[in-house]
Amino acid sequence: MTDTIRFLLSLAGFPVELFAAAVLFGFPLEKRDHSAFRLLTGFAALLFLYPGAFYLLSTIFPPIRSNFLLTSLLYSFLGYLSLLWFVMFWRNISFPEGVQLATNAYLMQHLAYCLYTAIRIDSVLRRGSFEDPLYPAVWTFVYAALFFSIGKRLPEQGHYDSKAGAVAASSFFALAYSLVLSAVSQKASAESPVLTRVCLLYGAGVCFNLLWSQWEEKRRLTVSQELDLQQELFRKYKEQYEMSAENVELINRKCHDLKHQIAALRHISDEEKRTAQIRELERSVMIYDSVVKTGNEVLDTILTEKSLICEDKQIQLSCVADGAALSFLDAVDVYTIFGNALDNAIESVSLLADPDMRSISVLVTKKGGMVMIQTENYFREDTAQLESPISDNSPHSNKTSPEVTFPSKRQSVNDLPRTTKTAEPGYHGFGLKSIRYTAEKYGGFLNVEAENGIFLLRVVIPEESAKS
Amino acid sequence: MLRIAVVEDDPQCAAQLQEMISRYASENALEQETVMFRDGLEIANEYRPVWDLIFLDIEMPHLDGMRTAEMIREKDPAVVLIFVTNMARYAVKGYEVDAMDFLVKPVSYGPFSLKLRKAVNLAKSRESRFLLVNQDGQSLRIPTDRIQYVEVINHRLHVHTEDEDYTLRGSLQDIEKQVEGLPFARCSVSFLVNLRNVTAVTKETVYMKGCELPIGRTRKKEFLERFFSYMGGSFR
Repeated sequence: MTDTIRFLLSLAGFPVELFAAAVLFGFPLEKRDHSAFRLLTGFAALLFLYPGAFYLLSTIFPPIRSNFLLTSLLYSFLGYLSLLWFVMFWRNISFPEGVQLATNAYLMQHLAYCLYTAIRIDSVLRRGSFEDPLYPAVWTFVYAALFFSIGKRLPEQGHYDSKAGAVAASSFFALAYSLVLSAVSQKASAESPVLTRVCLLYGAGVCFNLLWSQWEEKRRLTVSQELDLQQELFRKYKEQYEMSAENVELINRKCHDLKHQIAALRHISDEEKRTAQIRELERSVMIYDSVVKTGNEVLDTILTEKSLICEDKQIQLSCVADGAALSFLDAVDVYTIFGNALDNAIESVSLLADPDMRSISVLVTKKGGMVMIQTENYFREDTAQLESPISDNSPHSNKTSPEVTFPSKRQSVNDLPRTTKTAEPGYHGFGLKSIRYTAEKYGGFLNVEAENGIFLLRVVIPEESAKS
Repeated sequence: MLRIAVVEDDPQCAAQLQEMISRYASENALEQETVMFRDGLEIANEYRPVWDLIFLDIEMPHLDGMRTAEMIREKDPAVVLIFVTNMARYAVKGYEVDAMDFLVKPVSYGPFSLKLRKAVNLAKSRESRFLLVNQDGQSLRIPTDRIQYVEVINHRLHVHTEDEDYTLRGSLQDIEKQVEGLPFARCSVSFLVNLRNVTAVTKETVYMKGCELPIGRTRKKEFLERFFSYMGGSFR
């Protein structure tokens, strides 16, 4: 009896190891509904259906049984497929992410296996034997070490980054190679335990390398992104300084004109003409007296600042805002959202040939526990190139200013308009990214619609949320 | 038929607005009827809520646009208001009277048509219609404004309003056809929600007076987009 149990346990070892690896690596990824149910079902499937499927196949195709290499490879491959199915079933991820996750989990399991087997190569105690304390020791050590150093830190906000496809493919082939190597070397273990040990350790090394390099790549990407951000901030500060200088220049010019108008007034003796001139003067001053009161001081400041720019560029800026609705947002965040949204809109409408079309509307409203910020403006469809979401040809641009491309269909939260590469390598559409980042900080989102020459930017933030 | 009122004291500007409305109407096959008023007092005095859209000049001699809007809103919460103004600074108070947007003088056709397009959609979405249904052989007219949601269970429809529930035969698609253009959206396969009567929305649930519904996973993105589109106005 105990022999049968021991045999069954030894069979169960591999699926359980795979399962544990997948659970650890898959833990930080985005959940699906009824996550616990899926976890248990997956476990049951891995434990019973997978060996069951293998047994069935080996019965139908006897040659499998006789060839050790074939058996081993088929067993591994089926195991991988079951793993892949499990992770797609359990977590809400795309197929490339699933391949990456399944591959990583298998790599971890295989690493532990290689280590353990290399140590125990000449001993009778082998896989799945609970009499050997080294077995749980090695697995716990490897799994814990790899989980905390890599598995936990690889995903970002519940997903692997967009290059998952390429990583997945290369890792998969490397894994396959490593498995073949292990299987072949196992065959030779009787004749040359030393060689086998070397091959196993080599296999372990390959697995480790594959996992570690993914982590390295992610770190490198983070650093490079931070550098981009720094460059972008610098560029922004420079721009702001130039804008301030421009504003001062504008005001200087206006004052100069006013001075002349007042001087001219002195010389007008005709009562009617003088009144008309005074009214004209009043009008000029009032346009610069654009005291905007939305109920939110930061918004007031931004609108006042931008309205000066808009006037200079013949852009009509209109705003209907419930400023009080923004009171729970940090001042810097309000500035980020509106500053970027308006800069983006101003840049877009400035490119319109017909100045009559240059109008920007800003709406801030609150309904249903949601605060909504929306900007609307025309944009020029040929500069912002429309491309269908299916094609992945980079659009070209012959403008020197930074360009943003818009897909022809509505896009939502994770799909922001993409930026074409321009003469200025530092600017890569950070404006909209900043808005999105800020909105998500409060549990909200950014939605952008660009259709029929109308650009609509919408930020929605739940009302009661405090900054996460 | 869209009923538009233009309240503008400057005859030149008034004529310009009227001309732009006609131009938009012919370019977009819009049926409309425009009535002109020379001052806020003219329209606010004995105001009748027959308009879908009102263009309101802010600077008028007798009753200015802002005060006119306040008086109109007392009697008519649904009419779409667009202010027309010389100056930027009055615009933001528009929120208090639930104005949709405003136009800066001199008005040019580009922004005018952009805002009018949104206003037309907004006015249409605020339309009050009657749902024509059949309950056990009897013909019923249910005002769409009162509907909170429509549920389908086993080919039977349950129309929930604040006061009553109606059980009838039919499909959700039939109802959707009748409310086309109105802000109705499915939050899940068997629930059609009237966005006008939604009081709150979270990622998982939509709340109405006295009831709440779960938002289905497959419909979530589309439903939330429809809700926010309704909230911010759309150009589609």
